[in-house]
Amino acid sequence: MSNATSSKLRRRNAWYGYLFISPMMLGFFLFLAAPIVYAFGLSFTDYSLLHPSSFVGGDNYARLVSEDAQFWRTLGNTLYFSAGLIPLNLGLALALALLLNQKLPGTGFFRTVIFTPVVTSIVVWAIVWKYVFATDAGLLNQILASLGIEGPAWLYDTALVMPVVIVVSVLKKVGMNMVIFLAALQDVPKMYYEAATIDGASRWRQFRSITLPMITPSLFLTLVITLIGSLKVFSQIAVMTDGGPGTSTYVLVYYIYQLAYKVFDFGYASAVAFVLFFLVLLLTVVQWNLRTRWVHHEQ
Amino acid sequence: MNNKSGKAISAVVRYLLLIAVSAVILVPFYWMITTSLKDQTKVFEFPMRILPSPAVWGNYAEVFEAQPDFLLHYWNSFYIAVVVTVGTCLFAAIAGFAFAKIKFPLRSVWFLVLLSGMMIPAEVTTIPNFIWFSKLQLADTHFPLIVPPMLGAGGIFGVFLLRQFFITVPNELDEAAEIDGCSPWTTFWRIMVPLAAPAFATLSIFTFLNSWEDFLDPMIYISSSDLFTLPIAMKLFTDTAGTAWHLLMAASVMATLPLLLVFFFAQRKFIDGIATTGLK
Amino acid sequence: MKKGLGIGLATVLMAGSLAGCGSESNGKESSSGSGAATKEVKLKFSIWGNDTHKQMYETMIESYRKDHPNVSVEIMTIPSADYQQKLSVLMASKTAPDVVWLMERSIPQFLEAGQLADISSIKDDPDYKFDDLIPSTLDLLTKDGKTYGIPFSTPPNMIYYNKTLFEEKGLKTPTELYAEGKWTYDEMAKAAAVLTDRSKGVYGVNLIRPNGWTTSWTESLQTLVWAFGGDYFSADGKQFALNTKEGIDALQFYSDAMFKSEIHPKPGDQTTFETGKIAMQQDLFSYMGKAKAITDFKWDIAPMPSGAGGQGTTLGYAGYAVTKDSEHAAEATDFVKYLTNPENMAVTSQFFVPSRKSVLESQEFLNQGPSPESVKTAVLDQMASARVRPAFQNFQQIDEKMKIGFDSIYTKSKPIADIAKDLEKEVSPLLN
Repeated sequence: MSNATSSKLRRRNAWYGYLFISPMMLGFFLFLAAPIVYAFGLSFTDYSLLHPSSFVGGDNYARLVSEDAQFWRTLGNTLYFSAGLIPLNLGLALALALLLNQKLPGTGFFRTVIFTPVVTSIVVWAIVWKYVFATDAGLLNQILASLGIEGPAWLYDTALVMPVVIVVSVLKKVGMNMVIFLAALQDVPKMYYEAATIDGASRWRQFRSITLPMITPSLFLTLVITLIGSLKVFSQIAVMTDGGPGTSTYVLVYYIYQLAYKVFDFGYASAVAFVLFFLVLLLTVVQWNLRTRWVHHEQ
Repeated sequence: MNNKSGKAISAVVRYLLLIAVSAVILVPFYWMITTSLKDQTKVFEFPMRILPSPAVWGNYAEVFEAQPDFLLHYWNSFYIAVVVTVGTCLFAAIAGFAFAKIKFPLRSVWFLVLLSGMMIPAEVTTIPNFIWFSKLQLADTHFPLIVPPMLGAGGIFGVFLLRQFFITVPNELDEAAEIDGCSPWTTFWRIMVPLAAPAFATLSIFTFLNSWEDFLDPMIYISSSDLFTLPIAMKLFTDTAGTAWHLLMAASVMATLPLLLVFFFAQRKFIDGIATTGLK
Repeated sequence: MKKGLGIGLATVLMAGSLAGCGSESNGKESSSGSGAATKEVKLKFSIWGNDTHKQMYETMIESYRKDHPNVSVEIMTIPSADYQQKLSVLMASKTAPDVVWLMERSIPQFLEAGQLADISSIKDDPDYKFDDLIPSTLDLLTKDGKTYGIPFSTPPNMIYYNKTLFEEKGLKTPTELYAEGKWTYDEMAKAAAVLTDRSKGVYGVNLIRPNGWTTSWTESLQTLVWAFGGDYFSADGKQFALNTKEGIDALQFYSDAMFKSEIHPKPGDQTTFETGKIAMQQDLFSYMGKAKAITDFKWDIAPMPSGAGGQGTTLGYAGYAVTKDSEHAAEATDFVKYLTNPENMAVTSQFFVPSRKSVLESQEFLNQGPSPESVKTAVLDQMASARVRPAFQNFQQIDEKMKIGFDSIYTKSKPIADIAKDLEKEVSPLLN
């Protein structure tokens, strides 16, 4: 190839490269980059849909930190949700993956059943569970009644409502993480276990010394992704509890939604949204660091 | 532990655990289906029956009488999810291909810029997007449900996923095509796209599911009930006279069934796709 | 070839997605088309009603078009829970419907913000019989002597009761007690205690309207608070007024009914009157349609019982208004006039308690209920004393705080007196 054609080719390729990435880059700037900059600006105003806005400096952030008890409750609830969801979800997913990793009759059936909620719409899932947990007519309390127990008002009990939402959320997504763990488990070379068995290592010992280290990368990445997802929980809260009773299940996205679209306090809502942004940013950075380290480790 | 009875016991324990978890997961499906077949006055029957008797299949027809737009909502959800899925696959694939295979100036810089979008939660951008779409009179339309998911965070995830895939395709393949005089588009369309079928399958599943069960965006943007998608249409079964639980459950069954059927028939591919490309 | 196909696909995709969304035109293109003899006008009309309401309006629109062939009306349904919120958004983006249903709590917000059009011209036509509209029902939509809307539904709340259950227990019915002047909250609680049968899941009384747990303070409990002589807010809306002995007594009565005597369903309960498991149910006239489908037992309606502060009957409220940014205000006003003329209010009275005296007192309306006498006692006779629930400009914020406070009754997390005290602290800054 001569130099001339080669440089012509390079120019053509550059042109194609930019053409091919342009829709996504445009989308990135229009729907992510510009909005995030604008949202940051909004968080220093009292912008509302209903009246003209003005610049209020750091007032929204001051209100957030020192005046708004509801914000701190909301943040606390969000972290409570995450703290409850993560161990339950990952623990159950791992346990199920270990149970299903052996080729026993019926494992295909169980795998299908446990994965089914993943392909069920979250709204339908939450509606039905809300009805299962209904006070008198709900399935659960009817079953308890037939055993002679008077069931509590699950969704109207400040202590019970969050655990209920957590369990419902775990059941919705546990199948996804289970499948990821199953794939990781199947990548562990069989010969390791064979060697360990010959050496007389117990099952528990094998799990700790072989399985766990081998699946640690999947485990941690799943953890970060599930954690980020849990900070953004909205649908099941909106459907099942409306943030209630009281403020027991107010979580960040629900609070942002209320502030922005119920009372149209866009400025303050943007400030709260930025708290979510920084939390997610932090976790993403952690995730990327872990990812590069493990990719290295695997090599 | 290594004797026979020990193995038998561990198998029994294993099955009991699996049955327990499966039973809990099947509870809502049982409750949804049985309630959908109950007579309106028997919805709160006390004590309850294990199976409704008689089964009122007419509830399913009644859904369409009580909500004549139900089919329209179904269609809205379906076509939006399909357009978002096809669009995401297409735009993510050409961008992923460019980032993997075409040499152009500042390629890695642009890629990093784009990737940074993955750490922006869509929930944070809804407020500015909402304000702009309202000003453009696009708020009460399907536009915000289609274009931002396609070219926003969801699309970027697709770029990342497909770039990873295209990198694994041997360079000899596209270099040979280039020497044969194929334009990058031809190389992409004729060589890369057919190869990427498994990656497309995975991306489609994620994208379709996300769009199908999206709740926040339609809640924010859509006002008119004829533009509703299924998740928000469910609230139409509740009005000031109460919730028509038997119809709501019948509607829920209908909203859930097609996806479940697709899943049951294609679950091997479905699960393998998520397992292999989901996180690695 | 394939290249063309690919780009073509992308174009079709984009075009398809855009065409699928931008269908809302609000009649703009038609209004700009000048030169035609009669201008084509497309009105949008938003309701939060159900499909039967929609069908009723469609029939009315059809006959309206016979006289106004150039006007077409598109009905837009927005669910009631989001109605005010969605309408605010549509108004801010200048895409609001031309004619809207409005509920009492959203009227001050839109009226103060100047979002509603003056439709006083409606009075000029003698055939419209403006004087026939009950004057007190017009107050909320009148400002500085100008009319900004016409109410079409003003239902007092009442008690639906299961006559069969009362007969089984040999109790005097609310109707009988009312006739004797003994229909009080104490009597109601006594009767409810006898009627409650936990083994069958039967509750004596349910004050919460269907699906009303989250909106209970305003939708369901205002009447109780008034009946006990208390109130949520002072008459001018500037003071929080629930933290009084009367207010606390009312909430205590309600809490005891749920948790002490257990004659009232527990929070989150969804049992409805038509199942026969509720002996007495508070609801509005609009529930009549559903009640009429009941075949398993006999039922009737009665006025609300009275307490130290009287009956405290509330008047539901919904009206039609024309939005200020409507490009067809004249046509929209004419359409509102058509919807509320004597004939059409008679039509809508199959669902809504009419604001026209002539329709309200007509035999047709009296025949809507279980018996003309009960409708007269429970609806007509209550209209004079019934009060519209208060509404404020920043209702949404107040509503949120009140909702959170009332949830503490349901979760039993603090004594009633503390709930009232804490609410005062939370809500007072929002009133001004």
